[in-house]
Amino acid sequence: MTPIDFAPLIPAFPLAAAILAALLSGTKLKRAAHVPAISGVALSFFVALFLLLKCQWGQAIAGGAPYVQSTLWTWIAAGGFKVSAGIFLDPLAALFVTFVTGVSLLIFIYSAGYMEGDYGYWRFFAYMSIFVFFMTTLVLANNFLLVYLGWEGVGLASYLLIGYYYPRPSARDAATKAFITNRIGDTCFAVAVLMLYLTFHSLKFSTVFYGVLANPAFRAAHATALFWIPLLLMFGAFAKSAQFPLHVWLPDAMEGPTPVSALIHAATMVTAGVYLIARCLPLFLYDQPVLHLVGIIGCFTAFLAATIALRQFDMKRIWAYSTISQLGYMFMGLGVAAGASAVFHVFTHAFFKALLFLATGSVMHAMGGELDIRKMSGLGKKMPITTVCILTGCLALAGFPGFSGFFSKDDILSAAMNATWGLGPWLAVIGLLTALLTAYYTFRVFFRVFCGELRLPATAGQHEPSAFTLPGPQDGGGNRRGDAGTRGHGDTGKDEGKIAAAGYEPETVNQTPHTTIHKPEIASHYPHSLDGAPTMWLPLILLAIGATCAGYLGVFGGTEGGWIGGFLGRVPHMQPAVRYVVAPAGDMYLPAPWRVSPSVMMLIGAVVSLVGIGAAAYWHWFNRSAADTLAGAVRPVASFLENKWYIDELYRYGLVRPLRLLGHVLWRVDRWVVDGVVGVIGGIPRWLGFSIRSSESGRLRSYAFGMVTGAVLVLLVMWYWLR
Amino acid sequence: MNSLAQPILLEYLALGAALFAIGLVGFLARRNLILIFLSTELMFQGIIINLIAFSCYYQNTAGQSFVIFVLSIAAAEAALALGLVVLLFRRRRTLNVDAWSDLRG
Repeated sequence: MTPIDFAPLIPAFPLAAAILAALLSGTKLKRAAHVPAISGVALSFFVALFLLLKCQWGQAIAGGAPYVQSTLWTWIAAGGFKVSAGIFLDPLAALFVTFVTGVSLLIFIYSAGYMEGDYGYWRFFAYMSIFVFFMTTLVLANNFLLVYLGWEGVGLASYLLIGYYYPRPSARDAATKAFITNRIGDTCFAVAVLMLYLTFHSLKFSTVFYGVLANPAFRAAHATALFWIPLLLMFGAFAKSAQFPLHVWLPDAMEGPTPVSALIHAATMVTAGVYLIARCLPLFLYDQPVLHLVGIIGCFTAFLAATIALRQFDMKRIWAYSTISQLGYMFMGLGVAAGASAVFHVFTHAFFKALLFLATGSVMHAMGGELDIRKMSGLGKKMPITTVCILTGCLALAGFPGFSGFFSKDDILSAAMNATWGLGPWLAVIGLLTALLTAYYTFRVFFRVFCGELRLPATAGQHEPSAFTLPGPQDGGGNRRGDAGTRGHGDTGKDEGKIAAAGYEPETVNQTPHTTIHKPEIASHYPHSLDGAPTMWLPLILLAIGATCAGYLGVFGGTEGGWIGGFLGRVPHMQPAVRYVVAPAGDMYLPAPWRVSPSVMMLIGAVVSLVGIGAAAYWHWFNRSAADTLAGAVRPVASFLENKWYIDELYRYGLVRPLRLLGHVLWRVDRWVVDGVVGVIGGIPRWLGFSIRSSESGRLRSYAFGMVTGAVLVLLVMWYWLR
Repeated sequence: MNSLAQPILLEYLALGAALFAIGLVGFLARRNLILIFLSTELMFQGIIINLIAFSCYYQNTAGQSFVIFVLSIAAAEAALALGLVVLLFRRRRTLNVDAWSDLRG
């Protein structure tokens, strides 16, 4: 048995776990649904780790070859069209599947504590396992159709999990929004798959990427298809990875339980888009305009999301926008052909974003479901473990020197700065500006919530009301929060314009004292640590270690790009970054000269990060009232950012409302024109029947008379005509 | 086929037609369920006489054997019809056929 023969086990274990967890539903063991789920993903992780190690030091991939693949069975055989289910293993897939399962494992362990006693415990773990199953299928597939299966599968699983609290209308709306937004991308991806088959007559990666693509004559013959395929793949990836203009679903996706957000943001959902483009980078490298478009939109999204995160007040919402922003960085890296740097950032981001979400979940748990950063302060004293962990995550996200995010972000920025593409340095400059904003908004949350004087919301220490005990679907939205306005601003369409009317919201909460416990004696009512169960803080510590150390894998252990760079560099199009660009003809990669050396970029990055953190410390720790003054001074800008650049409103008035109007018009047409015609046709026999029904007297003798008359008539007819 | 048979056939046919006509008029005019039923029996007999007359006229037994069939079916139908009449009488306590006009449009 070669190592790749073990690869099918990676998706198989979570699938089996999902089925098992679902089967537990009716039994007394349903409170133990986490056992199969955690074991399944743990076994997957060990297999994945084994494969990774075998790829690095063993002979999983025969020396020199960029990949190894195996065929499991024939999936579809229809005439000439034949698709097999198979495994494609190369360093990219091995790295992806390892951190996906690893981070998922920690999230699963955390969930066991977080979801304790929840109404749909088994359902939750069944969905989570199926999520991991589809994601690992997507990563390990050896052809586009199987990738598409996994792609749709993660879309489905995310829909189910975002709408997990289905009695709550906002959760249902968020799930629908995520699903519909993803459909747009899925459709593009599906068309791209069809075009790939028409162009290459195969859907296998080995045929598409390592075959005729290198032949200039082939590329010239299929220039149109080779332009459209990457473009459509790009839109598919943008929907899945929440890039402008399809990013709107991700901030709402936090309607699901917090571990779901962690899973979506770190491991299983949004990384799929990055994986897809990283995997298909050969197609993009030969189609530079689309590749550049990826970079430009990525850079713009990074900036857009970072600015929005500046003026949000819900912790999870801020992390959601930071995810969009960081994904923007990844696409920027891909846009300058620095595949290894982008994947490196995905890798580090998985750790610190999972950490941030899970730690936020702990805060939410302790605060009785409250997440508004204006209503809490100084939690550091009450939740020491959580605070240290979230600090690590914040430092990594803010790109503090020495933490993982610093190295990976810097890798991308230096790649952009040194790209042979003329716009690259500009992207890098915007990226640096975004990094400044990132450091600021990250530590705005940290200093507000965990530093300063102790202040807890009124709900602190209470159990969060279950979504499944609500009296009715009508008032489900606001019940859980006590104040619907603090969360899910207007995306449900119900409370649209609420924030717009308010202009901007002040950052201090003293105007609403009834929601805040300011008195120290009540605060000291919670003498113990609020960190929660060990199953909750243990994964946090492990993730914190990952968030600190993961970056060093991209620095040490290799010449350029560290161990990760060297490992991924075995994939031809993943050569360490930048300095390899596509040559106009002949060879695929050519070295390019440095523009700004990586060490200088690193220094600039460190300074930018420190400035951002310092600014946040000033405005949100030492002198909080100054932040309000500042926000008041730039009120239109603050309002603009609070409303998320009015993109949701743009969609509502530009797309949703016209579509609804069109639907209404079509409904009327159907009602009046189509139904009218059908009604007239159907009415004719009805009218005929009505007009002669009075001839039916119900009397035997008149029927008999009719019969006799008829018989006589028939006889007369026979007499005259048939004689 | 002799010439003597001709007037005999005609007379028998006239008798059958008369019986049939009497039955028909009774069937149309009467209101009593039993009498309506008896009228139908009269019509049967008119037909039967026709059949026998033709049977004699053509000198074969087909008509007569048909008569056996008709009579046996009439007997069975009589049992059924009288049962129905009893049932209808029990429902409405009357034999007037006009009491039953539920199928009026």
